[in-house]
Amino acid sequence: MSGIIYVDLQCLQDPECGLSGISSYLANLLEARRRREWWANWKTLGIVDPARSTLLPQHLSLVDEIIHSANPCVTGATAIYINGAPMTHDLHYRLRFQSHPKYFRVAVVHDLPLPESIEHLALCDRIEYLARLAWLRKFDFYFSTSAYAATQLSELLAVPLDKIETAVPEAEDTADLFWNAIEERGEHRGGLAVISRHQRPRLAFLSPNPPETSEAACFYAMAAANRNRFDADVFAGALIGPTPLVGDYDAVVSILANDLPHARLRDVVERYGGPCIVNDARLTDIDFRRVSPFMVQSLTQQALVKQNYAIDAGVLTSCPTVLLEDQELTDAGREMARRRLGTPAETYLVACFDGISQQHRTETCILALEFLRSWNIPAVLYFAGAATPYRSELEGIAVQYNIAEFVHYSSRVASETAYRDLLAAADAGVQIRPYGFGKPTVPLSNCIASGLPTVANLDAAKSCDAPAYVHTVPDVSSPLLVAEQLALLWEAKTDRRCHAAERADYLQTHNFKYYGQRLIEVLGIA
Amino acid sequence: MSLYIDLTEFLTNPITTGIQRIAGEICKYLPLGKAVPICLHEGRYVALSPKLIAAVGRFFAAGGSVHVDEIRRLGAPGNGHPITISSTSDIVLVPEVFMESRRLHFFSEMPDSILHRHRFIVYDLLPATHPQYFWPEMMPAIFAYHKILRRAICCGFISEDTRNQYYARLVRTNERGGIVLPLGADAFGPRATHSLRNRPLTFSIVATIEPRKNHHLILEAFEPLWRQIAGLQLLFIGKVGWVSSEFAQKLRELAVTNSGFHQYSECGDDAIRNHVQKSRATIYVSSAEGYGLPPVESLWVGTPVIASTTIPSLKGLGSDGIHFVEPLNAADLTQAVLSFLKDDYANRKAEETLRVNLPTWRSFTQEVLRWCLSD
Repeated sequence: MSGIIYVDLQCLQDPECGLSGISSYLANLLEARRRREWWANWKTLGIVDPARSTLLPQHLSLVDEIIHSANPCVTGATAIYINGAPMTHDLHYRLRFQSHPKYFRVAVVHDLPLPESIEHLALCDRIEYLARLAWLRKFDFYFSTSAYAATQLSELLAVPLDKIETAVPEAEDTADLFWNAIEERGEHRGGLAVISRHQRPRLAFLSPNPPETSEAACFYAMAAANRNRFDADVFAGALIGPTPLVGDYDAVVSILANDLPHARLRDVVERYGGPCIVNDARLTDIDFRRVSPFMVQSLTQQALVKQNYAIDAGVLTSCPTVLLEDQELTDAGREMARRRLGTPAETYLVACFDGISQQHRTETCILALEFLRSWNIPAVLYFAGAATPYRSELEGIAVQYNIAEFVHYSSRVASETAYRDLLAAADAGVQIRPYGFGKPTVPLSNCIASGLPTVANLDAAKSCDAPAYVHTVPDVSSPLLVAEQLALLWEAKTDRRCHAAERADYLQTHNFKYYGQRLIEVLGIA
Repeated sequence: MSLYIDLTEFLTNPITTGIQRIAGEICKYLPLGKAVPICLHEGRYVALSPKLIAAVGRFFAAGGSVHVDEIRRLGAPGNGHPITISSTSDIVLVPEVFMESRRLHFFSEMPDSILHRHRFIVYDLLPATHPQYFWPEMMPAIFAYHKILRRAICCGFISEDTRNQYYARLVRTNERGGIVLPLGADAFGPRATHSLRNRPLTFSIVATIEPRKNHHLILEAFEPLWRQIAGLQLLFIGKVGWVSSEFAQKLRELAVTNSGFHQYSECGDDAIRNHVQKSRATIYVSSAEGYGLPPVESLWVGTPVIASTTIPSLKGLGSDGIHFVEPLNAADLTQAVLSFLKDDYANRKAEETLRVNLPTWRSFTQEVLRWCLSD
C-alpha cells in the first residue's frame, strides 16, 4: 500500500511546545513509522505554518518533505492526516485537512478541557473552544493517550468507541500501538479509504471579478463546459475568504488579476497558498511562495514568470467566449448581420472588440482608419466596447481628421446579439493591447474563433496562440503600421472560410473543455 | 514672388545640434537677399529682417557660442510685420520638424491652396515606421505632422530612402515625386587632403545613445576583443538618450572599470573632429535612419566607416572607405574591427576616403534654393 501522510507540525513550531511532552510524543510516533515495513511506500509531508517559528533542526528529518501550503489539492493517492495537538494552535490553518472527508484524519488526543473549566473564559474564547470540539468530532480515528481522554471523547463528543484506540504514555510500545491501529484499519476494516473519491473532482474557484463581469463569466462557462469532468463552485466578490477551504473540494483555486486587487483573496493566497491561476505575469506585491501549482494561461506568461521570478508555472489555455454558429458564418448569415448594422457590402468593416480606452490604443485604431480612408479604402470602424469618458476625446480626434462619420460606437457594452453581428459582419478585426505581459485577450480569442482576419499587436497575438490570419504589429505600434496591415487584409480580400482548417486547429485547444482538462491535469486530480 | 524661410523652431530654441542644424546650415550658405526669414506668431506668419539669416549663419559658423542676442533681437516677432502668403506666387521653405500644437494647428487649418506653396524638407518617417524607438505619447503629434506632409504636394527628402518611405507607405502609391536633397558632410570643417596612417587602435561612435543606434551590439562585439588586444579603445560620443536603466548602468560601470572604454556626452564640433580623425574607423550600425550624417562626416575628415548596409547616406557611395557589415551581428562586427586592426587594411580604407564624392552644405543649400525657385 502507498499514499501520503500529512502531519500537522504546528505544535513543533511553538517555541514553548517544541520540546514539550506533546511534541515529543508526535516526534516519537513519526520516528517509529520509519522502522515499519508497512509504511515503506508512503511519503510524509509536514505541514508547517510560515507565520510561526521555524522548526527545530532535529525535527526536520521527521518527515520526507515540508510544505508551507495549507491548501493542497486532493490527489488520487490515499492520504492520511495526523494531528498531534488538535485542541491547540491555528485551527483555520489546518481546516482544509481537518475538514476534508477524503483524508483519513487521525487525532492524537492527550486531554480535553472540560466544559466547566471554560466558564471563566471570554465569549470569543468559549466559541473558539466549542469550534475546536466540533472540528475534533470530524476526525476518522482517535489515538487517546489516556483512558480518561478516551472517555471524554466518547461522552463529550459521542465518538463511537470503535474509532478510539487508547494507549498510555508510559507504555514502551505506544508508538507501535498507534501504527498498528492504523495499519489494521488499512488491512482489515475496509482500508483507509474513507478516502472514497467523488465520481468527478470538485473544484472551488475564488474569483476577484464580480459575477457579472466577462472574466468571471469565463469561469462559470468553463465550469459548465466541464460538467462531465468536474463539479465547480465559483466564489466571487464578497464570498471570497477561507470558507471554501472547509468544503469538500479537491482543489480550491484562487484566481488573481492585478487589475482587480482583492484584499481577502490576497489574504487567502498568502496565508493558505494552494493552487492559483494568475492572469497577469507581473506579480506585483503578493507573496506567492505558498502557491502550488502556479498556473498561467499562455506560454508567454509561463516564460515571463520563469524569467522574472524563477517560478515554474503550468500552462492552461485561453478561450473564446463567443463562438459563431456555422450558419452565422455563411454568406447569407454575414449579409444579414451587415444589413442589421446598416453596412453596405462594398464597405470595409473593421471591428474592435476591446474596451474603448487609452490602454487599448483606441486612438491608434481611429488614426489608422484615417490612413485607410486617405488610401481610398472604404473603411468604417466599429467599436463593440463600452463607452468611457475617453470616448468624447476620440470623437474630437475623428472630427479633427474628418472621419467621424466612419466611426461607430456602441452606446454601452454591446449586447450579445450585437456583438455576434459584429463578429459575423466584420471584414477585419483590430485588437491592440500592448500592456499585456503575455495575458491572453478574450476579444482577440473571439476574433480568432470566428476565423476573422485581425490585426493585433505581437504580445496579444502570441499570448492567444494566434494563427496566421492574425497579422501582427509591434507592441509599441503606430497608426501607420496598423493601417498597413489592415490595408493588406483589404487588398487580399480573402474569404474567411479559407482559414477554416487553421480555425479548427485553434479551437481544438482553445475551448473551455480543453481548459478544464488542462486544469485538472495541472492540479494533479485528473 | 517671395521666398520665405520658416525659422519658428530655431528662434524658439536657438541651438546648433539636432534638426536645427539644417536650418542653420541653410542660413550659412544662403546668398544674401534670396529669402526672407519668417516665424509663426499668434497664428500668423511674421516676416523678420533679412539680416537674421546672416546672423544665424554666423551663429552656426561660430559653433553657437556667439550672436545669440543678435538672433533674439532680429528674431523677435515684435520687430517684424505680419504677412499673408500668396497662393499664386510665394514660396515658404519649412526646413524644420515641428510637434508644437499651435504650429500643427496652424498648418492643419491652412487651406490647400496656401499649404501647397510650402516646401517641406522631410527627414524621416521613423516614428511611424519604427514606433518602437519612440515614445508612444508622441504619436498624436507625429500623426498630425505627417498628415500635414501628406497634404503637401512638394516635399524635399534628405535621402532616397525617406522619399520611398513617404510615397510607398505614407501616401501608398507607386508614384514618386519631390526631390532628394542629400545633407552636407562638411560640418566639421575642411575636407581631409591626406590620410593619417597607422592610427591608434581607436574606434568611435558618434551618435546619441539610444536603442536603434545599436550601442549594445557594439559593446558585445568589443567585449571579447578587449580581453585580447592591448590598447584597444572604444569611444561613445553623444548624449545618453532613452536607454534602459540596465544599459545606462552598464555604461557607467564600463567607464569606471574598463580603461578601453570612454564616453563623451558633451563634445563640441572641434573635439568630435579630433576624436574621429584619430580613430582607425568610426562605427555606424543604426537599425533605422532617415539619412545618417555621422558616417559621411567621418569619410569627409578621412576616417573610414564600419557601417550596416541600411544607412541611407552611404547608399550609392560604393565601398571606398566603407566596411559594410552584413548581416549585422556582434560576430561580424567583431570581424570588421579585427580587419581594421591590421595596419595595411586600415591605411588602405583611410586612403579610399579621399576619393569619395560627398555632398556639402553649400551644395545642399544650392539644391534647396533651386528646388524652391523652380516653381
